[in-house]
Amino acid sequence: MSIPSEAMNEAYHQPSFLQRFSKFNPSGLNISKLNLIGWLLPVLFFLGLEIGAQQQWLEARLLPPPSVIVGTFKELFQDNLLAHISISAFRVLTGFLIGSGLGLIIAILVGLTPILKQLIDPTFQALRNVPSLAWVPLLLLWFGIDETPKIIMIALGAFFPVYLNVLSGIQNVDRKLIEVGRIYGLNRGQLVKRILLPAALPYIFTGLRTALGLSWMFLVAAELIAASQGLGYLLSDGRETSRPDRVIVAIILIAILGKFSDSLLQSLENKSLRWRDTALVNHQ
Amino acid sequence: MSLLTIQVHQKKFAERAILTAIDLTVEGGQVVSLIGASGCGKSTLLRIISGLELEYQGKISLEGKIITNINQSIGFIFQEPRLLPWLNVADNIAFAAEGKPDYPYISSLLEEVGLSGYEQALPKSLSGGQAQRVAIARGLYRRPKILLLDEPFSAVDAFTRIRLQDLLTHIALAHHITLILVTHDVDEAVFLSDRVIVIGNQPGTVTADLAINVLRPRKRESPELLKERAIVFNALQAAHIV
Ligand SMILES: Nc1ncnc2c1ncn2[C@@H]1O[C@H](COP(=O)(O)OP(=O)(O)OP(=O)(O)O)[C@@H](O)[C@H]1O
Ligand SMILES: [Mg+2]
Repeated sequence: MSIPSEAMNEAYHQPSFLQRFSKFNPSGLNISKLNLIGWLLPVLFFLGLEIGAQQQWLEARLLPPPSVIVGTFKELFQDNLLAHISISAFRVLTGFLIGSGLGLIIAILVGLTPILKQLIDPTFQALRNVPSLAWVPLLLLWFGIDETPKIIMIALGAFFPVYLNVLSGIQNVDRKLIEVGRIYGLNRGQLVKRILLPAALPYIFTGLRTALGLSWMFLVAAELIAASQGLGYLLSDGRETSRPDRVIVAIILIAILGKFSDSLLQSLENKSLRWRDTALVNHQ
Repeated sequence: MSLLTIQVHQKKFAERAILTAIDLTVEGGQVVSLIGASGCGKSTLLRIISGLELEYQGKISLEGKIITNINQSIGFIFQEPRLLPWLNVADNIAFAAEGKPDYPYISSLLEEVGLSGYEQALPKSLSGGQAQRVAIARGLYRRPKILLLDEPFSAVDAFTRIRLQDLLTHIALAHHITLILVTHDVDEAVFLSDRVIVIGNQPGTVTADLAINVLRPRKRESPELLKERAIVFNALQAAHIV
């Protein structure tokens, strides 16, 4: 966005609440240092593991130190690790897109049509309480053990948070803004596009980010149960072959991929919601 | 033919009569103020005229034609700016556009309300008075024949209010826009209006309809205005509003 004048420039660069708040922080830490501080815990943890293993305080067979894990990582990398990663990423992405897409569309329809809400919402509210794993036997019976049941399971996991958040987003849109739309003669479709959806956007992003997290969770559940490839498969394979180092590599990869995909969504969220007037603006 | 006739035989909310026996005629180019006690139904009356409120007995006609819905010749400025927070100032005004927005025209409107250069600013960076000026620019975009204003300046400070009053009358006179304005401020009503209508309470109905025959441009503390002010004040007392 181009900024017209010096005066406006100033308005945009005003420190956020948190940035100003951090000035009162006695340790004098600012936000950019806080980003680094996030690494402190994992680094300390792995350092402790390494020292503990070398001093033989810990049983390296059960709790492999970072040096062993790095070795395992290299070994797995030469043995098709990328294939495991890409099949898992593919499953998450497909399931997430299908589930959250359906969640978005159905929530908009339900949010706009009272009769549809009375018809559908009670059922969905009941279904969302069913734990994910409860679906597995049915999905396996219906679809066998190939890709379909895994993707359906992830889609199920992604569906509900998007559905619930978008629905409440639409129902929470300020009536006063809707009146502005009515005064300027918007029809229903324009009202949805120009007022309801932008106003519900914060909820939509909350739903999408929760859905993405759950997609990774459901991926692991699906791959643990029935898979011959993927990061979840590495987990169960590591257990069956008594290789905790492999399990840990898989866990670390899932954590990294989960965090990476969430960061992508988060930066999209920050960009799209720059208009929000909240204390947490500009802060990640 | 009159520009606008307002007939509200009855308006109820949940079996309670809010407005009754209202029969008003408004001529083009006038500035009309509605004043009355809180809760007497002024906002409701304005919403009925605008077409936002459709459940009532009576009829509204614009230039002889009965209107039964939102009408594009009638604009509405709310008590709050009600800007869309995700749009910048220019696009908030462009929201009033029916087809493709005319951005040079938007810039000229912004100049008119004293906000040149603010096109790209987001609502969150505006002060209350600036936001209300953007709302006025948005209300003017379609050049409505009638602009309804529900306590448009009640949320801004006294100095900004005086400037916005001047701005509004200036624009309305320049573009031949008829203003119907709800206010709680007797001075504002007398200074701005050609006509002050007092709405009595429970149920709301017209208890006084006073012409303010003072030539423009007016001076706020002129003796003529003070005399009119006293008349309006007496009418308010007679209706037990003050
Ligand atoms: N949507 C609604 N449902 C039920 N009652 C309503 C509704 N809107 C307004 N009322 C009632 O109608 C009456 C008139 O309300 P209105 O907002 O028109 O008053 P007003 O004259 O504008 O008051 P104020 O000066 O305080 O703004 C009030 O008693 C209010 O409680
Ligand atoms: Mg009111």
